[in-house]
Amino acid sequence: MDVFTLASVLSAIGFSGVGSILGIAMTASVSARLVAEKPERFGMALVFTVLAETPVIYGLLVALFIITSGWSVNDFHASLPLLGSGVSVGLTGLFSGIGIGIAGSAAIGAISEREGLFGKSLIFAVLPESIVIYGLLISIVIIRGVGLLGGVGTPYQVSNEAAYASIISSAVVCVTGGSGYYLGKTGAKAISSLLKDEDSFGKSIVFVVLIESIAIYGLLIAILLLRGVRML
Amino acid sequence: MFRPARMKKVKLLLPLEQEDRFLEEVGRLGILQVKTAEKKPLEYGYDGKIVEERNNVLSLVRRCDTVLNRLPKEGLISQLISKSGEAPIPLTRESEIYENAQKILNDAEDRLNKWEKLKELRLSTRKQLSSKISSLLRDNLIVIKRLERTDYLVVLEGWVRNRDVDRLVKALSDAVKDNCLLSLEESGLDKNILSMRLATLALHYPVLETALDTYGVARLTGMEGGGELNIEDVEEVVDTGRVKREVSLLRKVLSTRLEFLKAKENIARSKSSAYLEGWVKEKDAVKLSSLLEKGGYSYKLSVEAPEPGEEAPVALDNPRFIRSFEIITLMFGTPAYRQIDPTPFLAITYTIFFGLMFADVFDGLLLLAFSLLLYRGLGSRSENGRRLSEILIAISLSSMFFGFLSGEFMGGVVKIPVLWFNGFEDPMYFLQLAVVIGIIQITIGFILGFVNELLSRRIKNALGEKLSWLILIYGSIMVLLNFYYSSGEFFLYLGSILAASGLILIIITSPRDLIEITRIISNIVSYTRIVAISISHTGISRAFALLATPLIYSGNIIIGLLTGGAILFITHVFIVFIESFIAFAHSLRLHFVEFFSKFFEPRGNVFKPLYVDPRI
Repeated sequence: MDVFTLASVLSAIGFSGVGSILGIAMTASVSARLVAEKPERFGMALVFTVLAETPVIYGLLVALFIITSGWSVNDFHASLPLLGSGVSVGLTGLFSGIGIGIAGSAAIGAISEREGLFGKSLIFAVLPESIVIYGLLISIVIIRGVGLLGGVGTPYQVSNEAAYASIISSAVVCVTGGSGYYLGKTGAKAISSLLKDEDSFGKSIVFVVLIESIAIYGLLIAILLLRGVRML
Repeated sequence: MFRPARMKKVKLLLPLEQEDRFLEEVGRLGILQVKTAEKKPLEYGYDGKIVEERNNVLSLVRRCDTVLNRLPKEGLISQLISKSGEAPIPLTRESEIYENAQKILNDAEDRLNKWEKLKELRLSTRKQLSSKISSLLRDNLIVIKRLERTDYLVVLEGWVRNRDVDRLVKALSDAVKDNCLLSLEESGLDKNILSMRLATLALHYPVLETALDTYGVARLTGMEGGGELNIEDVEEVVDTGRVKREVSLLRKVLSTRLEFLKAKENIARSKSSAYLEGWVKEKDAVKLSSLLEKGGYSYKLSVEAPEPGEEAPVALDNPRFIRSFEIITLMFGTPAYRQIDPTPFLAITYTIFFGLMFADVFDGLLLLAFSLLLYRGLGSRSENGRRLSEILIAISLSSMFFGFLSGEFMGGVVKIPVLWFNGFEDPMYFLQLAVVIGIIQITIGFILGFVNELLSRRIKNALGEKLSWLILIYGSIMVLLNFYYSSGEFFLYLGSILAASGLILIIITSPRDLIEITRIISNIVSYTRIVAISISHTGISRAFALLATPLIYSGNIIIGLLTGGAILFITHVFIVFIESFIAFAHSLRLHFVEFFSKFFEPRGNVFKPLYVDPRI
């Protein structure tokens, strides 16, 4: 395992872990206050808190894949894409975790006032998760593109173009994945508006997902790039 | 099925004395929504006293809600899966309950106040009292609950541990010899704690007090300002269950009364007759006529179709197995009266999307088990709970189906053949499939939008905002496919003509909509989340399988199966818990944003007929 492969493992679990830490810290502190006043809301509060953990689980998943499959990778052209794979899930996990934490905290606040908002608040709290899911998709496509995990490429034999395209596609997804933070913020506002008018749910969700369009464009470009160098 | 139920407008004239009986009887059928009488005759007016009574009842309902909110609630899991333990209560004395509403609420509030005060002291149950006394007795010989003094006597009541009785007797003997009376009996709190009563002469009490203090004496206090606690209050458990049942029953009676009064509020009256307007489903118009005929009413009834442009209330009308999905449609909004009801389409595509995202036979089984528990629990207590559990049953079966097709069982721990394709092994095929699914659903959306515009007689919008986009999308697809797959010049030219026609149509009818081109691209690409979520689900399952499989096949079959099996079961419960939320929410999001935005105008009003519980 060379330094890029090691760095990819660190990125995958490190960045996504920080995202989850921040997300859980936000939701757990609000949950603790809610549960002290209304112990019967423990289950609902736990759901939102656990949601913030999913980015690090995806990061762990990618790190495990890299460690188990990429142990013998020593070639720069194979390990550079793996770095892209780790960074892709790591940074998107960072933005996603923070976004889930912001929206989740607002959701916990909403259910403290009105228990019936649990379902609709959950929808908004889950939306920032899309970002890390896109990052995970690109990560797995890259890992398989390098020929690991049963992928189509010849293991460890990756062209220059494929190596650089992997990094760029990963960077594209990470940069556009910054929308995860703002998905959380707008989701939090949308949850607050539910307290005033529950019927605004359908319209609010349309506004919130406009931000996600940016990440979708990034995902599209990343997929096209990887397709262009035959990693997909 | 594809349209809301047809509605009929009702105009009815009745003698005043038959009004209440009619409302009760039609309320039991639950078929008529009374609305404001817009075309009432001039000599008819509204009764202000009914508004006053309605406001009084509303404030009582709110008071009931306040009381119910103060009651202890079950935890989330308990709420979901525990069956309602209460048999339905026959509401046979509605008027008596209604007349005593204030008294019932005052009594409930008093008991709740007491319960909350005791809760603050953490001594609201005998168990908590027992645990408090036990902890005090660990560091003290006795705990005093009451001390009564007169000029000659001092009487102590409290508790002592069984095993400390000898020490107590010795302490008393050393201090006051035989000049005291001690009686002990079972406390009823804990078998190791005895209730004690100690009486002695007032002149001996200081010596006794000093002696007892050396062994340790605690007093049960906790009320504001200190002092002794009224243990009788503590030892009586406040039956919050009874409060809940009584107030819930009262609320039910009051809610029915409130609905009744809201209907009466909309009825116009003259000196001798009542005039009402309302809505009824077309298929229920016969029931209404029959009720009036057989009920011996003197009436004049007119049933007519809504006027063009008039928005009737909307009652979705779907077959049994699709009806559950109406709660998802209504979560977004209520379709307008003359528009398409998207529920039948949503029922099919939502189930498919979830199944694709959550394709694993074992995970589907776990979800099915939970859904069945939910059906038994929450489903037995509320209509929405039943519908939600039916949706979960459908999507869990879909997960199992797509799990079989993709050969996924517990992340590969159990190998089953791939009958169609495995998304994790062949993400490119899955991506192409997801995009095709997206295009199909968006196409259906635009077609429904086209039909909706035609039904609303907006031909220009039908052509410019719906048909034009379809032509543009399919023309562009033909051109793109030709670049990738060289499908031939015919398709290239046809595609170019279609794309150009679509573009021109948009520019002519609504040029500002050109900006939507990027949104359409984003909508189509958005369906790749099906692949992303499916791969993440399969990836996590496989990662946990990687951990557990070496244990299972470690050599010792029994230990291997136990440890590996336990790890797999726990991790899959976790996967089902987290990943099913994600798949549920993202399937929902695809429908609300990518599908509904093409045709759904949520400006309808739900049909809410007057309903009187037949048990009243």
